[in-house]
Amino acid sequence: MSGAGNQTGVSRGSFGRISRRRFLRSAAVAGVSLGGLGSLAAACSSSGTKSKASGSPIPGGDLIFARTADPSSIDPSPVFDNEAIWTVLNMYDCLYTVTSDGQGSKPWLVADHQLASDQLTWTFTLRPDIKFSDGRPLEAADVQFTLERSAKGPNGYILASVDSIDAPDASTVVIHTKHPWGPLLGDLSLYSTGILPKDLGGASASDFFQHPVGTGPFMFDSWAKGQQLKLVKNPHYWQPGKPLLDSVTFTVVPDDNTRVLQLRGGQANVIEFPPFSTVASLQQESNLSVDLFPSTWVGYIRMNEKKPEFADVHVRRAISFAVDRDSIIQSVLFGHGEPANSFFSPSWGFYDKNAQGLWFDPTTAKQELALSSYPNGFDTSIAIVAGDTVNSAIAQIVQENLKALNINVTIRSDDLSAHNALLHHFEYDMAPDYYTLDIGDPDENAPWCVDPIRGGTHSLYTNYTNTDVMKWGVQAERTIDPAKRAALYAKIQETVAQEAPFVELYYAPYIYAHQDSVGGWTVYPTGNYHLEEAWLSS
Amino acid sequence: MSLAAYLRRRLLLMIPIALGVTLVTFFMIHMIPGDPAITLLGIRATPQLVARLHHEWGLDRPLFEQYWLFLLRILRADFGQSLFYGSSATRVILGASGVTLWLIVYAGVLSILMAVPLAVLAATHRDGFADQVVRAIPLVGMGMPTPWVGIMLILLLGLTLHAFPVGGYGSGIFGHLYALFLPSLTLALGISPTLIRSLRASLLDSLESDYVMTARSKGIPERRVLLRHAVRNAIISSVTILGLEIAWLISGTIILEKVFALPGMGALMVDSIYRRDFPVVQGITFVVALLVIFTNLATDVVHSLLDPRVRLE
Repeated sequence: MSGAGNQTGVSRGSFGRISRRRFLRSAAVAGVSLGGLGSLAAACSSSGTKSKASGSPIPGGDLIFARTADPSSIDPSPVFDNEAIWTVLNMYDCLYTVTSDGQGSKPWLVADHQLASDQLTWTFTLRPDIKFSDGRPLEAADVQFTLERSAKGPNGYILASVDSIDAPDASTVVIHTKHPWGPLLGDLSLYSTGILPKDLGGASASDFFQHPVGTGPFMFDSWAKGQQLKLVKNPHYWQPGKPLLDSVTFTVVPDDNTRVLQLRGGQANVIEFPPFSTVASLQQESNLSVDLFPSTWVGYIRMNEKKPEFADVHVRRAISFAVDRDSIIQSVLFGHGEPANSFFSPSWGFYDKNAQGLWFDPTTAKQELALSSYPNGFDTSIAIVAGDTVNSAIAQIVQENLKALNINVTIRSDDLSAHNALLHHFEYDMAPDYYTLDIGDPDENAPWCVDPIRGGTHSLYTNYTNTDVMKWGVQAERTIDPAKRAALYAKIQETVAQEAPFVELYYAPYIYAHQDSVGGWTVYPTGNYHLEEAWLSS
Repeated sequence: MSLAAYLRRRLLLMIPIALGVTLVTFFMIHMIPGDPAITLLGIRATPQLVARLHHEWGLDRPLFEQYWLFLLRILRADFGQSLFYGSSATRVILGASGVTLWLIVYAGVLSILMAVPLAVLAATHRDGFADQVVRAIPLVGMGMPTPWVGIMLILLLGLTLHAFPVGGYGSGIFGHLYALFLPSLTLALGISPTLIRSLRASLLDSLESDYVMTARSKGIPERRVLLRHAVRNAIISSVTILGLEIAWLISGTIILEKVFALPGMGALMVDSIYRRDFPVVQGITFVVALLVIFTNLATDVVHSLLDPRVRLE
């Protein structure tokens, strides 16, 4: 799901999952060129990553992975925080998984699928060789149970289109949807649908998740809350020869400097989100590598359309034209980002590289404001999370930029929870934030971003409402043909860009650093990692 | 008053203090803006989901009812369910308390190991070079913020000399002693200046006292005079200071645990406040309040045992 959160310097982000927050300040080179996706991978490998791991994969070892936060839970159904999401994805496989470019879904526990001519009945055949970590074979009834449980859970929105699920035999799952449903395969890769044994093996949820069982490459070993969570190799894992590691220990190291120090000092093999400012110095170190993985991350500023100033489209456009994205990318992200032209990221499926986003253009900004009901400017504010160095710097740049329009901005900062409450109750004017995507289909995010009704949070608390955009959004979901969906999403992106409910700022990468003894280490644009591929050379 | 009667009275006094602490914490954490459900759900915080979580967590009940239920649970040493982890807050807090207790005790011991020899050195060389140095350096130490000292120690002893790990907790007693050395030293450096100066001052007093002069005139070796007579008497007043410092240490660990990535109660407290994880915040505050109360009590008792002139009443 999209994270949407500011992150604070103290390593707490704002809105969205707790753990996403820190992130921004650490995200780095997106390597995303506006020209298109082709350059994405190339830019990333050339500009950022300098992997020096050598040799061939070696089995064994314990990978110590220092992250910014503790997962909230190891039950895949109710979680929203990134650390939990990326942990459970290594414990419980989903039927599908996101492709390495982030734009699609590929079969994972499924051998193949068929869509009936009514476009409502999907038949999935499970791979025959899948076992749970207790050795029991995976059966269709497990899938049926999991999907039904997940649909009732807090992330149930993702399966809202599912009418019913059948398991006619041990290897066949049939899903009936209420309407033709284009995003279904992507939906089946969302972490909350990670497959669990039927009826949790007869245990209560609290008992089951003491020693959970899944089909993923790693299984639960121990968890000292706030300290470390250890996973060990699943001996029954279905991919031959994997995982290579004996175990993975996720440690919790919220302080950015300490995480970097631990990597240098050898107490961590991989660290999450080193700050932008440390990228250049880490790249100089001989036994370390910095990773700048293309991500689904989009940085933006939301504007509260329940305030009369921001209900005026010309005001929003004027502000969007007035914000200098290049200076934000240079001075805040240390050059590690690309300006955004759409509320979709280039790593999302159906991203439209031709969407005409609004660009920094002070002259046009003044013309736009002259067309509005506030030609002489007004007083307003921008809300950030206290300690969030990235968004604090962005707020100062915006404050400076908007002076040219005679819009006087005061910056207010609150702690994370207080800030989120401001947004939730529409008691703010502007607020910088971000969102990311968890699956290979934009449908996880699009309704939340621009459909005030179906998304449930009033277009990310902007209250942006355009009935055409809402209608096209529904059509895009209820269409199977990818070409037709692409056309609808292109119209949505173009319209949203012109109406500017958000000041789209930048696309940023996921930034990690690892010791050169770590091999097979990759982060997908959705932020998850397949740790069954990773290995340690010493 | 006998020791038993004194302890009984002090323990009874703890009840209103602890009750006051729960009352203030409970209402403060609930009154500040922010909602754990909205924070946990982020952009998925639809009104329906928020209401569902509020109901599951009992946050939809009147505040006074919630407080009453909280008090009833405390009687069973149960702080409720952590909103963030969805499991027992008591167990989460207990899991984190080990590191913090280690830090406090370790720092207390280190500060004594530093303070006593330095104070003796200064007092016995009054106004000499050693005395000036011992009096000046700790002052500088006092002026430096604890987190900064911690980072400097990490840079010097951890990264440059590779003498100590730069974070983590170690395993086993020796593992803990090794891994927790730097953070404990940082804390000890923070509290030892006051200790050194108070100990030096009372040592000077006792070195000039009649009983020391008597001891010297009887021909007792200077070393024995110093350790058996002067230091032993001088240390009594420092016990009170150390007790106060340990109460300070309990709060001092909060920031330091963040710097050294130690998964203790301080770090848990900070995270839980950000998350508005009410049960954990309330639980930690309660535990810390008890720790401070017990430390003060222990200080008074030890003081009376060391100094027969002091009466417990």
